[in-house]
Amino acid sequence: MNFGGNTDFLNMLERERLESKKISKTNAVTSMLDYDIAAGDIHVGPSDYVPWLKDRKWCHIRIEGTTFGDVPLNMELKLEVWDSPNSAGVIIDAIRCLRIGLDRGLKGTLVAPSSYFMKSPPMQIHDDIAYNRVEAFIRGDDNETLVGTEESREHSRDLASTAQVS
Amino acid sequence: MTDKTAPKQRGKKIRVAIVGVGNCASSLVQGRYYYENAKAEDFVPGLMHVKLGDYHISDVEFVAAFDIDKEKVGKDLSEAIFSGQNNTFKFMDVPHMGVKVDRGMTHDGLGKYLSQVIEKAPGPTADVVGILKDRQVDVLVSYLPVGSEEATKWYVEQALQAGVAVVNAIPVFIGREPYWQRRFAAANLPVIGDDIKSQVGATITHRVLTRLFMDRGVRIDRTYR
Repeated sequence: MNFGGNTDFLNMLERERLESKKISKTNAVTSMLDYDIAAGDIHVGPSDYVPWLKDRKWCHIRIEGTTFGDVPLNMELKLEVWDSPNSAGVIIDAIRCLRIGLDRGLKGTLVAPSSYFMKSPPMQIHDDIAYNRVEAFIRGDDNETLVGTEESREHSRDLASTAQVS
Repeated sequence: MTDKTAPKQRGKKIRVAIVGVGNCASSLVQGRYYYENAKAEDFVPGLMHVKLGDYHISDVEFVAAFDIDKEKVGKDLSEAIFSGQNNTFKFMDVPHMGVKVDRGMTHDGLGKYLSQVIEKAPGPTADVVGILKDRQVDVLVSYLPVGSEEATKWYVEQALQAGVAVVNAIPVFIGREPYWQRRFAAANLPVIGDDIKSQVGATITHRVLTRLFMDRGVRIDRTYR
């Protein structure tokens, strides 16, 4: 359950506008599991627009699980964040990586920066590996790009559609 | 059209254009000034490095901005980021920047609910390609509202024509699509996308907790977030 008071939440009251967003966020969770969870047992999405929250976003997470002996274990958590500053630093790094790309004459999608900075990159790479690859990119040791003609792109796209990371 | 034979001469600064002067743009611009004098060895929450490659935070210069809100268009960017529906945390007074917000393209950017609270600025859409070229923009950051499929593609076309690299911060698929990868490659330009991550947001938190349950052998029966 997700509440916020910025125009993102107001805009998302129009559910048709967020199909791709919802799919990617649901996959972010289901891709972690090595078993299936019924569609009706997982709910992800913005719940409402609460103007007085302003740019804050409150997120309630609940997970109901089963432990040894089929005994229940439940967890609840509430996250309170200011939504916009939470990604501004990431953008400053992305801008600088793009400029490095321009300086080096790189073309197409920058693989390592996209994987580390973005939720829906062409290639999903675990955060710790992606972080090291961005460091390598900054040093000039990892200049991988995708120019849209790669043979493996269908495979990459499959990965991207099943393993989203936030 | 882009001259594909001669690489652009670029200065030491990174010249940035912002599409969509909302809360995210506000935090970005404020942050640029807030950390202007940070030392290379400082720890800044949310950044990999104060100096990334050859570029300090203060090397990011905002030279153009586009919006459609009449409360923002025509204002200096330093003022527009605190105008209209913007309501994020103000952690920095931003000095006058001398960058006027130009009238952007609407397309599907203004949804059913936003159109009830935002009045479109009068006048024609600015010559986006011309502005991007004249101001020698290096990087365009797209902060359009979620669901802006057509508007995103329109701005990407303008960037390609002007020879500008793109950060696509919203969940419309550009950087991950082979079609757009080919278009950027043909224009000799890089792109980063799609859909910017937060430092710690709801998705990563939910994902890490799910991983914890998996790693500890707890079966997940139901969940929401």
